[in-house]
Amino acid sequence: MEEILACFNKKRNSNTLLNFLNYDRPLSVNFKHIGALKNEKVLQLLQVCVQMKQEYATKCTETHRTSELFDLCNEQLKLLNRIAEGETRWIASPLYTSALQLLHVSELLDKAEAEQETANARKKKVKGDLEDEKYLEKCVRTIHTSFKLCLNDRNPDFKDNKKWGVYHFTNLEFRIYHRLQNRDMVRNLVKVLDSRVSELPSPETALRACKAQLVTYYYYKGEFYGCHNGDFQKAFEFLNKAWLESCADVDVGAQQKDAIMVLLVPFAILAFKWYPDSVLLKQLHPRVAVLYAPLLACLQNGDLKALDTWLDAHELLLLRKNLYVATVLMRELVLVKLVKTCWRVNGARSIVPVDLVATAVARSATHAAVGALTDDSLDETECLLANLICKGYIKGYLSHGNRAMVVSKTNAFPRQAADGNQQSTAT
Amino acid sequence: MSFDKDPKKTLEEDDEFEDFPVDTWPDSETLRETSNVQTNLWQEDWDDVEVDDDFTKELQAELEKRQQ
Repeated sequence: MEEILACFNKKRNSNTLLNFLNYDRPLSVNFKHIGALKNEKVLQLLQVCVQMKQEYATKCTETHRTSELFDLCNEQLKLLNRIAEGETRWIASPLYTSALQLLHVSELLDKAEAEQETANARKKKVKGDLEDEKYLEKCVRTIHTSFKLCLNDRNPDFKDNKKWGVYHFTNLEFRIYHRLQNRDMVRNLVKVLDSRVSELPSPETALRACKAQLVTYYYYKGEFYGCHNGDFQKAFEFLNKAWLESCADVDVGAQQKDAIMVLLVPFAILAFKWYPDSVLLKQLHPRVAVLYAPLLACLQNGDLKALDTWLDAHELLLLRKNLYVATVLMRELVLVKLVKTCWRVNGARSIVPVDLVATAVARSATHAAVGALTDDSLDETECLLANLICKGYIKGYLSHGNRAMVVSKTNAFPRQAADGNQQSTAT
Repeated sequence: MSFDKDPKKTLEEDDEFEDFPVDTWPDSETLRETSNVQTNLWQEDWDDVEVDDDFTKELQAELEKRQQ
């Protein structure tokens, strides 16, 4: 008991305090002096913590949480938020412990509720908006208060400023918005942090001793830029950092490393036209290697039908990972490869007949012999080529009257490796 | 790797990114420090790679037919 109060008096964190905040740790302190406590807010906090432990011990099981427990956890974080206003950097750790706990309870309750709803689907549908609100949506409001009070701490002593804790809460919010599929809130969060970058410690310094959090932060930043903002270079930059900072031990976090690599491969291709070495990828991330092997083959041989088959087969995965748009953009790269094959077959001359390209596109898309070409299919092909020229994949122009594309004598198909500029603006 | 140890969970199933199961590790134990893979993992030369698979052979045959 004294040790817990000492934390607040001496402004320092301790494991006893953190254990006391957790509802699933047994009550190990003696409460005989609690009546004499003068600090009203701390007194309330202590009482809520005791109630949480009781609620958990009597009403909850391994997988089951009650909404009363949620309310108590939410109350605990609210009280801590109020206490934290006047505290220094040390309070960030108890705040985070409380916030993480609240998040876990919310996730379990939302999951249970979702299962319940599927079980009696269609029975009850009409409900007031407020009642329908998810626990996650409720909990993020309280967590956002913790985020804000860290972000806006005006303590002039920088090393004691709560700003050091801001990334922990950023990660919690990223995770919640991701679960709620609320991209706008992710965008806001990124914007807020970007606008305050000069007053915040860098994530690398703030999270030096919390590599897991640093990786999570990089992951969500990369996910945002690549999956929602079409900025594949930035996405690559963050995800590559996430991957490089990952724990090298093969037994630690294989799931996390795979998840990073699943995003990293398409963004490397789109940003820089870099592709992973297949032997190394297989060795480091066998599941990811299996997933992308057919895609990488299409990019090398220009096979549109195989690309479509691959997209169809993995549509759900790609949608769930928010990668569908990115992978559809790769179709252009497959087309470029196809056009390049036409140009090569034609003797690498600067005039490439459109009917040759139309034949290649038709063959590649169907794998069947190509018959007579209609005017429409030639027009369509010219349109495809115009797009590729416009985006800088091909240096040349179209001569509609001659039904031909005239390409530059030098460097007709500029390599985009290490220079992905066009990509980010083209999308 | 994990695939063999935990075959139940596939890429399809793990939608949500979780924190690493351990809180932290020294710089010396990151992928950046322990392997030289970062320089070797990404290849840049695929524009120049000419594949010689069945698809490409058939495509070339079709194009040569069209040219005649």
